Amino acid sequence: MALSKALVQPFRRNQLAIGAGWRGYFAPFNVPFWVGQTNSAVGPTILDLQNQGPFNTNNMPAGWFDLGWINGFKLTPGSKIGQIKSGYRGATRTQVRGEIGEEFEFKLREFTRLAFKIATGTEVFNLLKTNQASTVGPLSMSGITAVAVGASGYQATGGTATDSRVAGQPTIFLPAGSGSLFTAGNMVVMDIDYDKATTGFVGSNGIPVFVNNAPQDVDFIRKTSDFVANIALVVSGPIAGIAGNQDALVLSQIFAGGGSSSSVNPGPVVPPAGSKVQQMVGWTAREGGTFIMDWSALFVCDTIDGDQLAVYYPHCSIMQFKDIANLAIPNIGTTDETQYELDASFTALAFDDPLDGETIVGYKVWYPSSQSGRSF
Amino acid sequence: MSWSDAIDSYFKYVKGRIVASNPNRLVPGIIEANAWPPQEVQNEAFYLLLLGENSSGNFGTVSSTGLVHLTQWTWVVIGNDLPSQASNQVGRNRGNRYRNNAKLKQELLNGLFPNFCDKNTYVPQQQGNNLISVPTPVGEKIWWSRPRFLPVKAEGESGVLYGAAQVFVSEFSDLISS
Repeated sequence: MALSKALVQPFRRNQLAIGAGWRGYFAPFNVPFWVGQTNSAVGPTILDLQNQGPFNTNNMPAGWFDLGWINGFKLTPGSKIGQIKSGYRGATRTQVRGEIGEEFEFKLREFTRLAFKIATGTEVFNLLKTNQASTVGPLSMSGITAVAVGASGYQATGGTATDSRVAGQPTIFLPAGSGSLFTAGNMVVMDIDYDKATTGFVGSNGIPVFVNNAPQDVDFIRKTSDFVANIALVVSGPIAGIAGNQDALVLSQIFAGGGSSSSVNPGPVVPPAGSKVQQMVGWTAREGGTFIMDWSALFVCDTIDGDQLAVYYPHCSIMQFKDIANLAIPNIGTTDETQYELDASFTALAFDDPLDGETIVGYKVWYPSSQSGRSF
Repeated sequence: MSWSDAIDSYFKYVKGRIVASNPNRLVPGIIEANAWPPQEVQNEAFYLLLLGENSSGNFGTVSSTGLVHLTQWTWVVIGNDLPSQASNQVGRNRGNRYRNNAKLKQELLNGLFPNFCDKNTYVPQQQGNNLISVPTPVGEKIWWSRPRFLPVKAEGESGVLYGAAQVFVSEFSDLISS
């Protein structure tokens, strides 16, 4: 008789999951659309797990932003199962699900504005270029004059331009002559003026403004906008293929962000009509305040056998921004240089699955490879 | 399937990528470390030396042991002589050894990407007067570590550089069913 399987533990080698870790993707959660709704299924950036997966990490569905190299992705289940005991012996007769929840954490090794915003969990304020210092507050001064965009506005792929310097490139078109106000390498933000009066959620980022506390800063929406990029090239008009005489700011990347609106879901992911361009020098996240940023999140782990594991949270938000942590660079102890990573943990929030109305907080997904001979 | 499948697969995969990036690069073959150097060593060619195997910890079970092969890519760099007619050429004979060595390292690093491949078993087949090996996938993968480039040795008399990089290759052994 063959030796017992329990003794020698034969296993199927192509049933093992061997990968190189997880990669994170975040998408806007439309808070203005979600508030006041009776159903928590509205607001997330919905991923169709049937139609859009397995996910092509080189070409993600629209609206999903790559967080880059992350490390230490870890799930901490928070769901509880209660026991109902009865009888003389107090035996457990049945179990019931109690509260539902899950937390997750990871470290962002690539420093980007989006990573900074996600890790800190606050509204990030763009630091506009100003002409003088304020003695009132660190963010109080309005920026230098914002420049109105041209008739062609922002074009993610250069619009109708046939000029090889512009065609296919993310570009802001400006009235002729305005391009000279900028130089390549400038960092810019493009968004609309704030009317100093509107309260509630303002801008494409859904930044909350309290009643009776409207910031008296025309640049407030640009200060909180995600529509930021570096200028790669300034092109003077006229530009072949573009109507009229317009200058062009060719950007280093497309705008990534926005997505919030009280009237449509998802909200706008490009700057609205009437936007203006302003130079900026950086951004800041305040420790404290009142508001918490919300997101939809997806984590993907591909295995060498071609399987894909994914974790999808329709709605999540920051639990704790832990640290800008040190990560020692292996260099045989000869250097004081160190690497830094953004360390944060998050909570998965409720989502009423429209399929059956069940309240859940996330999906664990597994797309087996058709090539791996996967057993079921 | 056989013991040598993992190393054969690894060698052919890495060689394929090296040659794809530089069709002139020689990648002669696999040899046991004790047999190094062969009688004739090709200049600036990659040899794959086998230094042994290890199986440890909870890597697999007794039915299918996890094996870690210690391999070492090895090469020598003589450097190039300046052409005799190039009397106006700036430089020294064989002064390009450092750059040639760096190119070899880059090609090896690229060849090892992405540190895993299919495990194949190889069956010899006669094709005309040639014997070729036909790969057959066994339905699993092997994977390997990043290279550890060893300090380059320069032979004192000749000035020949000896380059080496160690790579650990991991696999599960064939299933022992009875």
